[in-house]
Amino acid sequence: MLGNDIVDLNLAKIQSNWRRKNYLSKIFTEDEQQLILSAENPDLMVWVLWSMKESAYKIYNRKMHERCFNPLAFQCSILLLNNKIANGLVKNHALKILTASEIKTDFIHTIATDDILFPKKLRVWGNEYRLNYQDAFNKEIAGYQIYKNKSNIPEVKKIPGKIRHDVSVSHHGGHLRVIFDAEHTNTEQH
Amino acid sequence: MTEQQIIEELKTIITPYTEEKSALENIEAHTDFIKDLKINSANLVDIVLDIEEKFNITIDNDSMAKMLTVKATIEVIETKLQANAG
Repeated sequence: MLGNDIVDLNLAKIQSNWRRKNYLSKIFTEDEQQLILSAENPDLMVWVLWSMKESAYKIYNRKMHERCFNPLAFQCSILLLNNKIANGLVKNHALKILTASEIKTDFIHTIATDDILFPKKLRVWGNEYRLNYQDAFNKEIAGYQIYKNKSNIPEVKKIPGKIRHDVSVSHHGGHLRVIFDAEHTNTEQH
Repeated sequence: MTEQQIIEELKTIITPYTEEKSALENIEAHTDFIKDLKINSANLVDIVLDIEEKFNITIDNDSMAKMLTVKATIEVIETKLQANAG
């Protein structure tokens, strides 16, 4: 299963003041707060960890069919970090999720999977966010179609045919990313 | 404090975090913060903190986990207010 999350860093700066009293302790474990406060760039670390939690939550939500707002339950560890990428592990009880984040000056994009390995044929499509982004996706990505199912959840299928592929969509501010697994098909029923 | 009074307070708290002004105008028990009001999840924390300050309560993590709708939020606020009074 896949999850993703994009953070528009310019928008996050305006939307959220993580230095607000009690803010960090509502979202981040002691260890995560330590990572943030000792980081060279604390702002960046806040959003790397947040996007790890959000992308992992998407998998949790679809696996457990349960919505909740419990960021503390998603415990992050960073396995590798430099100024371009962050690889990490997010745990929520028995659920273990691997994450890979791309770090740019104006955004962070995190991809999450509960497979032991990242899918080999993961496709990432990015664009400026627009309400009708599906049209642009369908024009640019040959052989696949994105659409919303009757629960208003995006699905990707190989065309022609009805075979669905695992997909996750995230947008924030002007940024949009669609990720899908071109190899593994999705048999989950909605 | 009546449920309607709590909803009015919530409306004031939520205003800076949503651009869905008509959904906010028609806020009711089943309004969903993310689906209806399109509130950024990082701002849900701000709402929880604003509620704590406004109502002078402390919201524990399990309670926060439920706070995705107006209804659930009212229930949390009422429970905490009662605990404070008792």
